[in-house]
Amino acid sequence: MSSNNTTYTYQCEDSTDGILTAVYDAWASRRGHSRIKLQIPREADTMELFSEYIPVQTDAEKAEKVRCSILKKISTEAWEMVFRASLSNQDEKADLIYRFLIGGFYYGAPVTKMMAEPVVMRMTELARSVSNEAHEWKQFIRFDEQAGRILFARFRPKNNVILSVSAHFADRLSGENFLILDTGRSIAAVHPAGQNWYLTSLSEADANAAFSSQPDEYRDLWKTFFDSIAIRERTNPKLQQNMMPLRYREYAVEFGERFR
Amino acid sequence: MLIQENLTLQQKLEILSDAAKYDVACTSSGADRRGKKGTTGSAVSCGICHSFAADGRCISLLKILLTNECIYDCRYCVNRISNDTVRTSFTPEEICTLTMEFYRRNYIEGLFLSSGILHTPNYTMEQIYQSLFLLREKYRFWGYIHVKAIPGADPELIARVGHLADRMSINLELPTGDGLKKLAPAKTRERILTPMRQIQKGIRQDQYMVEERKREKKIYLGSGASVSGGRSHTAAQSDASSVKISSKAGLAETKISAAGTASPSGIRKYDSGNTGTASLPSARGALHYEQKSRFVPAGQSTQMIIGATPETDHQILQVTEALYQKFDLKRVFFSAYTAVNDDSELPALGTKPPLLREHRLYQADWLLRFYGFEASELLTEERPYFHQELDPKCDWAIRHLENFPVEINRADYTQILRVPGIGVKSARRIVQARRSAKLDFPDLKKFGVVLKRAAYFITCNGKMMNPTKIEEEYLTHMLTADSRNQTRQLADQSEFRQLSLFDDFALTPQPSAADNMKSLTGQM
Repeated sequence: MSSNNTTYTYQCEDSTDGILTAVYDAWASRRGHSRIKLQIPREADTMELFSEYIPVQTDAEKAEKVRCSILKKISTEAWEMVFRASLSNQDEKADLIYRFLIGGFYYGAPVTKMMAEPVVMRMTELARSVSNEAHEWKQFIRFDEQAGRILFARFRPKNNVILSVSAHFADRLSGENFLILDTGRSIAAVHPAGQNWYLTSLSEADANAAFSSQPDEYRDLWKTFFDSIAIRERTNPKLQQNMMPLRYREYAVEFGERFR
Repeated sequence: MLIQENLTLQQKLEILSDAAKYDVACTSSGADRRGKKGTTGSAVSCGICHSFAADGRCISLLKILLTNECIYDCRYCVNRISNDTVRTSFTPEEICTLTMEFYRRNYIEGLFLSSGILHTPNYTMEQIYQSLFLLREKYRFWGYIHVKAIPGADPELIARVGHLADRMSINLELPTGDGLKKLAPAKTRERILTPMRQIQKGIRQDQYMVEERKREKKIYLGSGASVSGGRSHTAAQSDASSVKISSKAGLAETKISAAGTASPSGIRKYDSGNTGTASLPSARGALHYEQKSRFVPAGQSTQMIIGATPETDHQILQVTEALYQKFDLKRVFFSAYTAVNDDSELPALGTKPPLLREHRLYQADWLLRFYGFEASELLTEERPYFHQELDPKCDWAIRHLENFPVEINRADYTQILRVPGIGVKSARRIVQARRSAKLDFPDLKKFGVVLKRAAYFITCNGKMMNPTKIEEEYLTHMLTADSRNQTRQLADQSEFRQLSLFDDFALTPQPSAADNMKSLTGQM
């Protein structure tokens, strides 16, 4: 089956370790970069005829080796880009990271600045969109106070940004019990007051069952403030929507929630 | 004045945030402070906005007044003494709980505390100090605080508040002293600039101290003698600083005790009237926040009202530049005057706020701060107003065609930065990327350059994107054709509309042509 035209498609898990393991395996196979493709398998995908599909078993050790080489042979900045891009919601990311690393191991540290190279540009875009989204969720997440002084927040990010968002709140609200739920991916970050936080899987339905919504006077106070702080003569919904797109408003108290 | 007692917290919040909304600054930037065990909060240097109000302005801080009572009668102000509005005040405890509870829920990034003048400037400033002290020491709030310094308050009070806050600001109110005389007879330019200068000096001194400390903490790696020298140096330094702190705390304590015995000396030397104020707490709370924190770490800002007095854009920009250069301000904010009072000296009620003018001033302000422009390059006495349809940078470029076109692959950073359509980020990306490749127009587009404007002023590898006459009239026509529409929209935004029961702000959009087609063909 391995004729000269055959390509090899490495199918990996949608996670940082998964992608990095695939990079390791693909590189080690010595089949030639131009014949290798990395892919995160989706159900809707159609198979290619002249391609051999190789499933990749995620292996934290291999991933760690790749991470160390990036740090050692390219730069910290490159690693940050790869890490961020691996959290993106774009399916091309696995192959893109592979291509980026080919350039990275060849050129070394300068690769992150080679914006005229389409692969580098695209990587930068993915990484930037992930860190931008993380920053925006740090702004727009809203906590709800539950019985027992537990703060509960839900959000639905496009990219997988729960790590950076939770780290921000763990630093800021170290003395609070809080739970942040990514409703799209059903992952939750749990932070018990004064302790380390961790990730766990939790569905929105389960979370809603556990947390009964209770009246909260500060919620109403916040709505009052939100309305009275606007200057009527300057009303500008378009600007408002530019600054805070609708997708950030799903769980924002001041815009009225779908669930109470 | 209607002083209302027994208002609920909600009513107070409504009144005191409504009265604070004309203050522009809502930035939470400039301070960088990681969270700390046992406290609540942190500060991020880039600032974090938490929501956007119906007018599109960001909500970053809990922007409230301590009180909307005021002894002054500034004509442009909603809270002037002659206005017949409901007056109320927050207690320091109320401010603290609101801030903490909002902060925990991630509604806000911190507190913005301003105030009307209650009794005397000193009394007001003292109340502000009390609130901040309580918030920092009792509630252990580690987040961002922006506070207004009250002109006329005792310098000592301002200095102490400065160690509790992250940013301080004093409103310049109006761009020139003449305007101030006309509209705010109780305030003078000097009274506003004195505390501004004090804060500037405090910040400089603080920075100097920090640098000094850094220098002395440096470890010298080399011969043994210099290492020990370095150590003894640090030891001496830490001695000195501990002496300094204890003497400072001692000072505060003696002052407090002086106040306790109702002696006229110490911190209560000023006249706070017969209001029965509580004395200032000792500067030493559990966290020692006041001793440990730097003085106004996020810097100082100010704001002025645009359009209430007849100053030209040129004058306003000159004042702005002077404030940046002579007072080291972090930001100067402009506030388009919203007609709130019916007054013969002011634009009539119902006048639209001059939003386009405010917008142009902010654009120019950006050019001053990040693009290396000088005020005199943008406007002159002969041309004292900004172009209606061109942004200040385009306007400048068209009047200085001798500098263009700029070759993207060779020109230096400062030249590229002056091209309309290229911002700080895209200019940096260009300079970085051209080291490894020759850039062409599609690359620029990817870097975020707005070619719609930039194309007329640049070449890539000696070629322009389209054939262009480099000629003032032609370029003006080309550039305004596009922005004309947009500018008109911006000018119309302030259009005041009567609320109507049936046609409410286009909530139900008119069916489009496509919709009509669909309904005809039965798809809908």
